[in-house]
Amino acid sequence: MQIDTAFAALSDPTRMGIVMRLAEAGEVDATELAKPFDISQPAVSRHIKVLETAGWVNRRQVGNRRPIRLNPEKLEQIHVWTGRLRATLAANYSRLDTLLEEDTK
Amino acid sequence: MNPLTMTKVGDTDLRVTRRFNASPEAVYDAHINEEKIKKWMLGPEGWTMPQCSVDGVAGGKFSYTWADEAGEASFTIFGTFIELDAPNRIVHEETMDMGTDTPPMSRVTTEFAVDGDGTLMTMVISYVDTESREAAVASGMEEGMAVSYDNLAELVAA
Repeated sequence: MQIDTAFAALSDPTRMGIVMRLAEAGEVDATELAKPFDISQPAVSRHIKVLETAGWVNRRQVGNRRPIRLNPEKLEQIHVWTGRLRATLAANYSRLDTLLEEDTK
Repeated sequence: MNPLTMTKVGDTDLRVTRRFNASPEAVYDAHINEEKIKKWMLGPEGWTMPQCSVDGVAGGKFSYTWADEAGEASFTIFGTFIELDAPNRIVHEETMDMGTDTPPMSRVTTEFAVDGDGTLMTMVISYVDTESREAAVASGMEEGMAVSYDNLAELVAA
């Protein structure tokens, strides 16, 4: 799994918006997903395809619906870096505390 | 542990403050010394920094690569030092290597001020735009995700 590719997929504001919407809503139909964005349904579909290729979202068939949801495995992996900048910095600086303490001994 | 503060400033900036129980000289050095960086700038639990190169002079380049322990994922941040004013201030630009897309660059100003017998570090990260900042902080996302994890657990179980 390549984190680089996943980040690249998120560099587009619309795709970031789609991911955030899915994070709040859970599972959403493609037509529903397009509503808040001022772009066409085919454009939204293209964004979803990019997210799907990068591993961010899954689609499944439920009757004639194809609801979209975030891929929990991907979320777990990426979340460590993107959603936890604060925790990452806190962990880094905690280690720096230890290092600085050792240096002054 | 000393508290970390993280505050959004204006449309594109993020300000982080943290106190250290050491001199500005020591904290500054830990930010530009390769051997020291490799010991602390490791990111979340379970990640390592297999590659680290730092040319700690104005105009010098740096590059950090992180990898998870399983060796399945890695990414790199690289950049240039714009200003180095030991032990007070470091200004650098950094880019996260994201493969094919044009990677957004952010400018980071880190200042080290005497604070009693320690150092108060203030780091201001200026992103290229608001979206980039929100993506980095993922504030709404983080809150949304706490909820969504519950939803996801149900969906996955279903």
